[in-house]
Amino acid sequence: MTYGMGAGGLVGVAFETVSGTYTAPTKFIPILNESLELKIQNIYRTPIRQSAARIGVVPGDFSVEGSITLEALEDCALYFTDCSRASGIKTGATNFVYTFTPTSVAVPPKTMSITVVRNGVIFGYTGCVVGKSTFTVNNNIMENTFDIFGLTDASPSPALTPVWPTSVPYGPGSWSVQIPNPTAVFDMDTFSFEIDDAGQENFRLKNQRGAQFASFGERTCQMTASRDFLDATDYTAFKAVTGQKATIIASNGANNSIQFDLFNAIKDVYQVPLSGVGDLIRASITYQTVLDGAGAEYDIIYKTQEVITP
Amino acid sequence: MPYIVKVDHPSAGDQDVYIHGLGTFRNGTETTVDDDQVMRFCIMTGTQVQGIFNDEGEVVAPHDEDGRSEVRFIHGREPHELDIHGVTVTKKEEKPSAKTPTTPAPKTGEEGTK
Repeated sequence: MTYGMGAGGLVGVAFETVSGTYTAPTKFIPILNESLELKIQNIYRTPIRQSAARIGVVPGDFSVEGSITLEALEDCALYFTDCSRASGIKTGATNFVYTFTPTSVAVPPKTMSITVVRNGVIFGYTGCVVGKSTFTVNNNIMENTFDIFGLTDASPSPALTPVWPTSVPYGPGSWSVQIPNPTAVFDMDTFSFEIDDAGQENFRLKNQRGAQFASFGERTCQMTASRDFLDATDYTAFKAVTGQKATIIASNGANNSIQFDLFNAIKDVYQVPLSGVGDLIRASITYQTVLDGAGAEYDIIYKTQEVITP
Repeated sequence: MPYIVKVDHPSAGDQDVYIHGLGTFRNGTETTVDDDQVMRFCIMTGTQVQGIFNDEGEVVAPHDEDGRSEVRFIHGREPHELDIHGVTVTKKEEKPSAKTPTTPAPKTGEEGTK
């Protein structure tokens, strides 16, 4: 071995047939960065025994935590959303439409193995689930950040020769913003759409170390956005706590897109500062989602040629 | 000696896939790749190895007594020797011509340079 750098790394994912059993990657994901780690909660012994030092350690439970940030590619983000607290429906042939709707399950229905190669060393994180998903605009393209939690590092040693996707990110000219849906608006330059299902590993008294199962908690789903402040219409809706359906579509053609809908978005932060002499007057808005009259909260729709079984 | 790259990827669908150093291929197709491209693949998938090497090119120690070590670049293996998910690469054997004397195949694969 010798010194390594990030460029030589890679990340691959695979759905697990048996949750927690390492599966070699079937899909390689071009990432911007990742921070997955095995966290061990050791117990350090500090009894009073004529010593100020920790006199020993009891090996603790462990789990996997971290995040992966990637350019939002519909054929890649699809895998992570499928391992989140959402139920997917697939339609179409050759050109597929995957529609993911949130659920209220307590434990993850689907897990994945995430393989990370760092300087030639293979880390195989198993039982991985997405606890939080973020869709945002950074450097003028859409990016995803997925907060991952999982069971352990299987330290596999498969021979990995990746096959990379050729899908392209969503940049300028690929956007359709509708607030309220279907009214197209052209005053937004950044947004961050987050779904946080408060995922965590759960530890129980048992005959081996590690988590017993993963669970989800209370979900929060929100979007922050910056918009030009042109008149008081939107501000009036904020004061009246009026719900609106918001839709954002990033499209690279009829058959390749990422869309998400907030069916009943309530604005609970609306800041319109005079921030400086030369600054445009803009609104910083936070939208919270609540169920609409039909019980819909949000959905994520991927149009892609990727073939998975959600 | 050309290589045949057959892409039958179970999840790629009707998309192109990219193999670093080898090229871009449509899922469901067979493509012929020449020796030059394969050599490029072997270089692009090569790795650096650091240590003290013996005559067989094996690392026998991480460094010498003074903390010095050598770095060598080791070519990656040829694609037909690798397990690539959804891709099969085969080396197309050429029948030797009756008029052309056969020569030993050049040694490829692990080849060190300082």
